[in-house]
Amino acid sequence: MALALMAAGCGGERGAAPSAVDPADVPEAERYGGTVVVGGLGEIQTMNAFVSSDYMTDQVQAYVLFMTLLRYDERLDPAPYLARGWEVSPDGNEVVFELRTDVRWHDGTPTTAYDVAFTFDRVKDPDVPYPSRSSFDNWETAEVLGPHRIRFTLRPHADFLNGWTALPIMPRHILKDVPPAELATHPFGTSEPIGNGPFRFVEHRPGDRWTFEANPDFPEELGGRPYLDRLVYRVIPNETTLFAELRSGGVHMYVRVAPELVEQVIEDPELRLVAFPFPNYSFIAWNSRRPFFEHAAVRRALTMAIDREEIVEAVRHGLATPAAGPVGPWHWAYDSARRPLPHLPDSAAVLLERAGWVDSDGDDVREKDGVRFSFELATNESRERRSIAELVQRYLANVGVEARPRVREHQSLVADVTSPERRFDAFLLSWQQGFVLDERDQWACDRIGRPLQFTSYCNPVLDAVMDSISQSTDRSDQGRLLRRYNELLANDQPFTFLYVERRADALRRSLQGVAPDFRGELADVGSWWLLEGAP
Amino acid sequence: MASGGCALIRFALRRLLQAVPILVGIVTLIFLLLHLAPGDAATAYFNPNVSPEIIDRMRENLGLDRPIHEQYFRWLRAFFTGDFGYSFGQHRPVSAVLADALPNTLVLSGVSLVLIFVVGCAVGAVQAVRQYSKLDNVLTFTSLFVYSMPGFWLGLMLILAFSSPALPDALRLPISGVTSIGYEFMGPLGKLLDRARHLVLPSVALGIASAAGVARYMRGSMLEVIGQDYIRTARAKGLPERQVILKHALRNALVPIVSLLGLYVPLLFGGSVVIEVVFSWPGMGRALYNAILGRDYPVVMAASFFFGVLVLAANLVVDLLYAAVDPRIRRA
Amino acid sequence: MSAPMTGSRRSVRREAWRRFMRHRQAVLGLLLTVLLALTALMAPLVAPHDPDEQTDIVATRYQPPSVEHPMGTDRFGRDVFSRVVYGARISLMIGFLAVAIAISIGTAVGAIAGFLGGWLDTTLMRGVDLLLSFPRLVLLITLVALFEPSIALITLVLGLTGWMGTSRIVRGQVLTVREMEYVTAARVLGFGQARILVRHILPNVLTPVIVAATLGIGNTILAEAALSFLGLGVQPPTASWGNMVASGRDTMLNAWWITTFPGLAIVLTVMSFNLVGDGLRDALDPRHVV
Repeated sequence: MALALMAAGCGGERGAAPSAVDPADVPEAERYGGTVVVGGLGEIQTMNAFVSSDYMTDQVQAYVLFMTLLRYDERLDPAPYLARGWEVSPDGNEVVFELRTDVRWHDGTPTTAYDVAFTFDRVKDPDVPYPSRSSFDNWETAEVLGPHRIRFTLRPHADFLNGWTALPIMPRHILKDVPPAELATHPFGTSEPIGNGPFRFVEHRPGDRWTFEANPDFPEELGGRPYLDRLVYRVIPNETTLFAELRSGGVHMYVRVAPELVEQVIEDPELRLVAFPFPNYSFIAWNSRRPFFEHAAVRRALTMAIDREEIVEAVRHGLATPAAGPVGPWHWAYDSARRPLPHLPDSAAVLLERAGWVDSDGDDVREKDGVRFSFELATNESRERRSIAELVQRYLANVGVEARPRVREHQSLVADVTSPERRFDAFLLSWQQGFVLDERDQWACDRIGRPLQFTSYCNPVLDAVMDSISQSTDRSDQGRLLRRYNELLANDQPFTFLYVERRADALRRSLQGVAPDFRGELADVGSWWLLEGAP
Repeated sequence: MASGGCALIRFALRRLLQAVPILVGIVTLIFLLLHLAPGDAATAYFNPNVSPEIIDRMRENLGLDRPIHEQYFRWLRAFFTGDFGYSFGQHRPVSAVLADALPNTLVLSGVSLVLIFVVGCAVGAVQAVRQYSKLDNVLTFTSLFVYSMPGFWLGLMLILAFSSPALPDALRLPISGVTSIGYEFMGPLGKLLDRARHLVLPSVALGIASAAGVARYMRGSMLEVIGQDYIRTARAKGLPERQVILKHALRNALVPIVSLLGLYVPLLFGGSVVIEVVFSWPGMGRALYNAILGRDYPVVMAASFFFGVLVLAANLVVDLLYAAVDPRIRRA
Repeated sequence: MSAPMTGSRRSVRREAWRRFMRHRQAVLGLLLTVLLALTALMAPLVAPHDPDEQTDIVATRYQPPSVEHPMGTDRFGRDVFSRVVYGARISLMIGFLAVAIAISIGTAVGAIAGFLGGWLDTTLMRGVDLLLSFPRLVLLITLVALFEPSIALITLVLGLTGWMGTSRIVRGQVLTVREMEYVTAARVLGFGQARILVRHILPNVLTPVIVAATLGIGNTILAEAALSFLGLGVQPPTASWGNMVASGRDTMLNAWWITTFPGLAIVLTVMSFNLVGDGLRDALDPRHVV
């Protein structure tokens, strides 16, 4: 069920193909060649896997230049990649990976188990600022059993292979003598990276572009040499310019296209739109230490006063799904039958009334015990968030609640909401989730006071569920627990979950073979090809 | 003449020495501002997947947990020994960031500067010669219009116009970046041409408002000169009008225009932030802007420093030009 | 340099006014400026709609100009004309206040430096050099990006970064005027320093200051627009012309009216102030009339 919905969300191509050539008629052998330019607003700073932390950078590292040990399939099950297979000991305390023997670094050196061990050692080293180190918290030691065999010891836990799907293996023969503390700034990452993936590094012009070329030696079994000769990532930090480049053919793909441009993409016969559910959701966090937001009933009322469907239309031009809780449509455990709280301003008013919030002085704002229901809604400079804040202000005014939007500089907003004193009433942001939904840092009672437990919300039942999720190794069991997790948060509304983004890319019609899903648009970059004669 | 040259050098040296406290002042001011503001480079990793411990560790690695004065003096000492530190955001030495970005900005503002003065002076001179003509009125209005336009707005208009699919290929101009894809496969001439074509729109967008400003000054200056006795004398002597204007009037009218250089250089660098974002130009302005947003202190301070140096250098050039013309200034 | 005696100041003023009124473009600029100021003051009467009013967003957004919406509607279905009218308030207010701050600081610093001279003069002018050797927009971006983007902050920062030019002009004027006969005479007569400064020097310094102020308003409006483009200007829902232009730029091709009208408002306003400034300069300083 969830899968069917996801499939429907993928490859949502709209508009008619003006090209005379039917892409399906082009024989496989004639698909080779050409340069594709991918344009994005954000910079890709480094190919050093030990330091980066943004989505596009991670994609280029994992899918273009390097290889990860494993990859996720569309069900979020780990599948072989650099590792041809793996064996887990019966007690779950040991894993042995069997590596491919036909993968070489682009300088000709074979990729071996020593590279994997090296990468693991550095990830565990506290001097290396690897941002996702916590995915390896339960992994203890590595032992190379042979050039292509490596054994790890670990404490069994749910989704224990997750870390290996995200961590590109780094070349030991190049980096082994770099002191761990200096890895982050080593020129390897910015000017001379050597990978082992389907594309080789050609050039990095900082602030401008990265150029990669096809790796002719990429293993046949994994798709072999990519169709494209070259792949270029260009950073163009302004939407108007990037879109103009797309229209004039200077760029083939505009990654994460601005929602305001969606109609123009659909109307343009030379362009098409692909959209997919993306683990990034927007939310309003309610500080439960404030008298307004103490009770779940009030928070539910606020959510019901906010027309999330209209927000999706107005701000995202339809490119989002209203969210019930943290388990989004991209996730296999997503329950599409679980609808978000409905938009019922009248019921919201009743709920507020019942909670003691009444407008007794006729100023259109409710009070309780002499306190006006008036709070500051902080958000950052992002245009999308500012727009939502404007809308929320209006929705809440309709039920007698005064939200005062305040646009904050992003870094200082982050500093305030992560501080132990929680210097905020409510804030509106969006953020990207990991594929493994262990979000105890955000919700668990024992994390109150820690940076990411913004709301100081505490529910022991939820704590127990989250602990079980992290222990469960059985899919059906875990699915049930995740739905319970989602349900509890949807009921308590420590956040108002606004929507889960549908990430959209605008492409020129000449670019074929692009069918992205939640794993990212570059996941199948090896099978992209250029249709000659098409715009 | 020899002693005059010496005096000029002494004058230049004195101005250079005076520049040092100004530059230290600039970096100190920026340093304080950066540290007064909440948030730091480590908060840029705000993300549910990054555990707080790692952020603390990062802060420690970057030295952000030390007291401000310690950070300041450590940074200042390193800075004046030529070590600009590492960019937290770009994961490479600040010197490498500057080496990539500074030339791009210098080329862009250099070309703009030439454009500003050549176009500005030409337009202003033509207006003065044809004072109160229809052409003068049209140009006055046009330059006022251009002068009153937000630079980014003009830039976006140019981008939309020159990227329009309706335009024949021959008329299209590159709308972003410094070089085309496939630049490395071009011949030397092709490379030069490619770079030149990429410069057209950004330098126009960056410079045109200032060019309009120069035109306004030039018109006034030229009119003043034309009204002078020696021009009347030249005319009375029966010199051809062309020669009067080009040889006598124009040259003298240009002298006060030199002082505008000191005015427009800082304006260009400021404008470069916006124009570099609009045209995706990998220069200092954009590097600085990104660094401010990401709290990448070493880049912000190095970039501010170099902007300061460049502006002071421009002022020095202006002073030297003037001193060369008028010896009295040297003694002042 | 004109050296008006105090007694004849009235006639000088009348003469300047006459010269100004002969300046056709300047009069046009003045008329436009007055019109803009009136529009801003009477925004609720002029604007046909509430500038923040949104009803059914999806049904009312991106409507081209019509009788109901003379400048069309924006991406939330808000009336662009009404927002331009209300935006005039914000843009002009920021322009006036920031320039007032800049002029006050600039005049004070310049007058003190020029009049008192000595080490104080040197120190102050070095400080001015320091601030001038930093591109203003860069300073603006740094200040606004690091702190909260509010109208008050933007106005303050625009004012605080805009006074250096004025202080140089004022200092120069003061230095010239200080040596003039009537000031020397006043000094010989034993008038106090403060009295000389306020009664004799400042009035003569006002001319270039007024011109600089008029031209400064235009620059301030442009600077706010540039900040808005970078997302650092006045924050929505409050409409400023800068943020209207900036936020409509993605839809320039299919909804040109969202950016074009506020853009024109900026150009028109900045032009008007520049016209008035030019006219004033010509009128107040006869040397400039050619």
